[in-house]
Amino acid sequence: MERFSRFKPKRLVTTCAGCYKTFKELYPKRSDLNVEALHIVEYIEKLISEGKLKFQKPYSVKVVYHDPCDLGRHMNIYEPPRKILQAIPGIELLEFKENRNLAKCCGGGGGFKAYNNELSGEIAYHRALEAIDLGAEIIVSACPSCKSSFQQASARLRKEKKGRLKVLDLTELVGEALA
Amino acid sequence: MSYIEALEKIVGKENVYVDQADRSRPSLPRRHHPGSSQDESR
Repeated sequence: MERFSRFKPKRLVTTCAGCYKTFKELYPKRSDLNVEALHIVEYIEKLISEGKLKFQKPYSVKVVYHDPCDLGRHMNIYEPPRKILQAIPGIELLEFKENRNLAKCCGGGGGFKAYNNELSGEIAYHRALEAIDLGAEIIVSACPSCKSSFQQASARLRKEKKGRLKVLDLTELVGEALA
Repeated sequence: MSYIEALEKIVGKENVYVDQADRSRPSLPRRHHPGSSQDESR
């Protein structure tokens, strides 16, 4: 908060679904913070729709998007990440059977990983296994907690020779598509 | 690719300012979990 008072930003963009919920919903109710909070998926979608961000090269890969709890169910943001993925030429967007408000948790939400790491890992593993069964090469989310959970699950999938699944945050995938 | 590198690709390197305190802050140590030593994102 000291930094906010020093820089007085008009807009705050975060890559974290939990931080987004905190800055968008919780802080305004409990402090005098006056800043427009955006999740990076909203910001990137805005850049694309305004023609300020264009993808030149095809990025041919099969991607499945995992809805983070804090971004989806809690903040009702489902379409911007999908619109971003659909704007990248070559990407084949796959969907989990349970998606959007029915999406299963990655296992890492709400501090559950700290409470029961083993069960948290199992939840992420089964979600990642479902991604492999869909034919996904990359599982992408928009939450660092989801990314961490799926990285561990992906390592286990590879160790058990169940398949290879790259794990990326949507911001990283957009950066790679622009590289 | 880190979040900052990705952001630099998205909005241009000249438009990304990273507070020196953040730039020099060491990453949190990763907890070791069996089977998690390989990072698929890199």
